[in-house]
Amino acid sequence: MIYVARRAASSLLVLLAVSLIAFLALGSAPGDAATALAGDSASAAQLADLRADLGLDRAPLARYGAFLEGLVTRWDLGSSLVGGRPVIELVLERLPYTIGLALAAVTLAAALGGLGGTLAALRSGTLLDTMVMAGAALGVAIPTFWSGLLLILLFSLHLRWLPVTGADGPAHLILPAVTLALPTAAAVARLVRSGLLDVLGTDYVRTAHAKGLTPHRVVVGHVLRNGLVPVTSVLGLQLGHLLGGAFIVETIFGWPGLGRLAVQAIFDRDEPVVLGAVLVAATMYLLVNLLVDVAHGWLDPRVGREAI
Amino acid sequence: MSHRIRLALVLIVLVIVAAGCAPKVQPDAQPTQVADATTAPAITTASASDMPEATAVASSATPVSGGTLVRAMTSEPATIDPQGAPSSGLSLVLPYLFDTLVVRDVDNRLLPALAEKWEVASDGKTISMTLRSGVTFHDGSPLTADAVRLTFERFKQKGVKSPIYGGIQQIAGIEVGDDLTVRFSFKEPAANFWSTISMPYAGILSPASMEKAATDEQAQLVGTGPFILGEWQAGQSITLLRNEAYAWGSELTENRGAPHLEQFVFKVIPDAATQLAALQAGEVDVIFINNPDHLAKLKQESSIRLEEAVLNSLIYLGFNTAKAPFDDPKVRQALSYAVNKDEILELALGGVGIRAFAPLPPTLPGFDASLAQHELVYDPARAQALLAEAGFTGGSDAAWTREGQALTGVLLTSNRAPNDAIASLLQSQLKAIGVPVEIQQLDSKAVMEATTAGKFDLLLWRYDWNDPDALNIYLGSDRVGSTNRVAYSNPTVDALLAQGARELDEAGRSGLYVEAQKLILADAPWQPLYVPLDVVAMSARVDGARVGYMGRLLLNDARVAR
Repeated sequence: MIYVARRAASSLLVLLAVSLIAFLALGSAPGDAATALAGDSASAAQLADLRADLGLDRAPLARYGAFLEGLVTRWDLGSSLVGGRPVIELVLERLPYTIGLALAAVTLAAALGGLGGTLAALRSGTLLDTMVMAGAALGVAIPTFWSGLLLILLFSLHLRWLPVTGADGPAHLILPAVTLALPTAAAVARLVRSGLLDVLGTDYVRTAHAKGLTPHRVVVGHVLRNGLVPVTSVLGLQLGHLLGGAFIVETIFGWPGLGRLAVQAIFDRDEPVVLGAVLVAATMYLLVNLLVDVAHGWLDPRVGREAI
Repeated sequence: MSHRIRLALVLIVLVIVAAGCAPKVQPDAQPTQVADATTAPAITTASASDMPEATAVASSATPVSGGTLVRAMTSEPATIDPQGAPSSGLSLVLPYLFDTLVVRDVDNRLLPALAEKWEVASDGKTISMTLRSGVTFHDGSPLTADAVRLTFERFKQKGVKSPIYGGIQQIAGIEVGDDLTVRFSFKEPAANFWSTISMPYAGILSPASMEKAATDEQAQLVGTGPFILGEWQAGQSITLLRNEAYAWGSELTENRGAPHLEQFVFKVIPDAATQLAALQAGEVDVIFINNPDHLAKLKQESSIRLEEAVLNSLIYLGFNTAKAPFDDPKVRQALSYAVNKDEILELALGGVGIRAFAPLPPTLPGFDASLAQHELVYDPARAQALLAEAGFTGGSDAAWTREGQALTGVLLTSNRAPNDAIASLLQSQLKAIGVPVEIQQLDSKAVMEATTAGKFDLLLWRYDWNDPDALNIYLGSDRVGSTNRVAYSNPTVDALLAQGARELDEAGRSGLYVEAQKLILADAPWQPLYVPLDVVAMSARVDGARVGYMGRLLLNDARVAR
């Protein structure tokens, strides 16, 4: 309990720092929302009127202060400078899609990577092992904007099995999730394989064999549980990362997630939306990290005791 | 050879084969494409060229009434408020939901829309319009002169984010005569009034919806357009439904009543390569193409119909006339002679574009083919001779120098495609006459900031505007330090442009702008490069859809095959 409370407190500090850094970073980029909105043809008078209308004529500190005040007292993230819609609405519209895609991608990555890595480790030195590892190398190297389009070409245009874009149903989720999952699956496979190979050689596994446990029980009961610790770290990192949005995949597949919202807001210099999206992403990341640490504690009691 | 090595070789071969079969991915600089859509937004206008490229339509399906047409859109608008921020996609959606008082056809002629007829007072300071009768908004309320008055009053108060804000502010007052008569009054005659009110941003709004929107941020503004707003799935699609009551279409289409189509859907697909795939898979029926490689691919498909639209835009090479040595007209002319526009059109644009010789594109009044004789056509020898005349010594092997200063500079441009290719070509063309330039590619807002502050030498830039007043915006003295990025100042030109801004007679107005352009071409603050084209690709199941002025997809006559 105290552990969680301490984590919550430090998380709040992290969020505050994140919001300040995002605010400063956006402010240091050339141009502001007025120039972004009004564009190439706006007269100086129109720009001045626009800045007054958007509240951009206030000093940066005042703007940041107003943002914090709104957030802390009213849970209000402000409104978009572009369309006037409340930021919280914009974020909540996109959040389910981002969460869905992130969970699907991480689950797929865990399944594919875990399966591949386990097979490779148990059949280490054989053709299967080589193929899995070569596949993993490819998976890490191939950029998502290329693999995504390749998958569209194959499954949507040639085979006509899956739709090209959209987010209407489970069929639309498959290609984006697979595209996102591949690099992580590759990393997980390599981790699982090396982790298992390490553990398979240790004393307690030989003891388990000696005790007469079947290979299956050895693997599941002892080996996997220990090998999973670094894997949960990687998956957790990836999940946290994806919960902030996956801009490239969202762009390629037209998936309405947070990534595109955030990047568009940056180009629009839409301060409130950027801050809102960044805070939501950071919060997700912190939550996932907390879950991962708890999972570590559960998986490996040694870790658990130290942390708590 | 061992097992493993053989396996590795097989994998390498597979990867190479896969790479060969992969679609030619143009990392379209997608984010910046979207970004620039908001900075040089709204006025991305077009009109169908006189050389539409139609490929054979190999379809045996018979179009019927009803059905759904799907069009791809790069990004959706933030809100559907004609008077609000011109977020990307807004100008695409507006014409179907809202009608304007007047419209323009591809030849730039003004046609009645919601306004049936109009009269301009002799002093040009009052324009009275008679509205069409029997028009109703989607919420059932009738179109009255009061609705028009309230629309423009709201615009004056709240339209500060709109690209036509300046034009709207020129309207001094709006009066209502009887139920169908509106009078606009001005302090000075405003020749760009027609351009302003023909833009989709000037759509007429229902007073009831304006009232609701004043208190409720979520309330949707309502118009009189041929389609009604249906479902809007954020980030995914906007569905428009046929307005059954529509009976007041303009002459732009044969069908003046309700559209044949039952539904018109905008599908949000941010990536250009994905849009192409969606068209080929039949998931969308219409896409706009900016990429020469995609165009080449589609030209081979007989089932896709292509139409070109000339845009009200110009891409140009600008010189910082406030900074030595570019303040010397001979230097500007010399560098202009070094530019090979045909090479740029061929290599950077795959031939898609119209070579430009004047600061105004062919679609705007004030454009005149006779201005071609003032063009500084590619002539590297002349360029070098001019530099020598200007007092520079040196040549192709050594840098040109004058009073110890070498002639060099930074070519600033945005990272929007195809600027990188064009900038590279310009760099090599200038190098060929002995002028080395460095390319600096920045985010478009960074470019705008740098140029407003005068921190550049050469500028590869673009403007989009639907009125010849563009010359004042980008080259007028009163805009130095804001939109006149090259800091050009010529009092004679200013006087001509000021007169042109007040001249309501089209022929007279054109003449003034032609004179102004002659002077501008002589001073050479810009070397106009090309006028961009948008290419529309439509699938075979679409019949009757046409591209009109401003690249607008005219859909009242459109039908789709089942």
